[in-house]
Amino acid sequence: MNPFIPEGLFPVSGASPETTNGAKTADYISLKNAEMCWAVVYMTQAVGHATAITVERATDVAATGTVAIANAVPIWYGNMTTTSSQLAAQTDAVSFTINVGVTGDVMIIFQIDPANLGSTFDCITVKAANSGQATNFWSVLYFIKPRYQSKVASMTATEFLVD
Amino acid sequence: MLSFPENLLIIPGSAPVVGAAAEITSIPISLKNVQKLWAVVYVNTVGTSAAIACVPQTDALVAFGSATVLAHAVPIWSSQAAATSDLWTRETDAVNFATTADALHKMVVFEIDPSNFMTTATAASSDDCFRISLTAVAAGDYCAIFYIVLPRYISKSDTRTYITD
Repeated sequence: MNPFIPEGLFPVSGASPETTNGAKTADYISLKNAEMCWAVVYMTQAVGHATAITVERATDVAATGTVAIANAVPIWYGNMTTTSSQLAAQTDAVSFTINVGVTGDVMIIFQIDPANLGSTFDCITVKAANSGQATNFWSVLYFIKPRYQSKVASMTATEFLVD
Repeated sequence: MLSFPENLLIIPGSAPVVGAAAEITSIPISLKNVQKLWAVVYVNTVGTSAAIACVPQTDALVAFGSATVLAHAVPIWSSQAAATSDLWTRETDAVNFATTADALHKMVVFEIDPSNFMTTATAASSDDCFRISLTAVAAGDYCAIFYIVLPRYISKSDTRTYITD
């Protein structure tokens, strides 16, 4: 993988920073021209809450047929502090729920292989359950390894936010 | 071949935070074992439509007792309508960047090469630590900052911490 950002590892907006006081859905993105996608969920858990984060698949970016992914995916998790920035690989799963006792900065990464979404699905999103806490926040940033790197470097039209 | 996030690391910069009409600074990171860093600033100005000035800073220690702005311009990209367009614009190299004053979601990428930390155009700096200052994020606006790190020693990337000196 070319490590250069944004040419080689392409960031796409999922959910701009906002409160999780209310159920949230990140933007659906199309992975038709992606080789791999990492959905990075970065959260502030000011108040401990067992917030469930799920990945769903759909057949278009309008969310047609949206449903939880069927195949477990690699997940990394870290409860960041001022002295630790480590992430730990978790058991592969289709979702991740933060421990209710966890507060502070939380990062969760889902590695999504488009080939494992199922034959009719090429779009994904990430959803957060309602935390009921106005001071708990999330943001979602997708990092995409493009199928055609040269195309991404020179693209002139939106690629991943449309079908 | 690099793998994400094992070799190309993602480090916490600033978890999502709401502004309070005051400066917000990201977590200082030591770049002594880093080849290159990309800092991704992610802002939601839906509350006030205010511009946000993003100012990279360096220091000798992660305690950041004497923050210094960059002496050399760095590559910058922006995506200033990120909810509807995933296009990135290559901006003019600079030592800081201010977002457009509107309510659209925005992302800004700074590419940081630690070997270019200089006190003047020709004098190398002893600084090897980095953070980003967002000056006066308005109340009701949100921001988050992600660091992506290309480590100097790939084999140690899974055990090393970057937020201590």
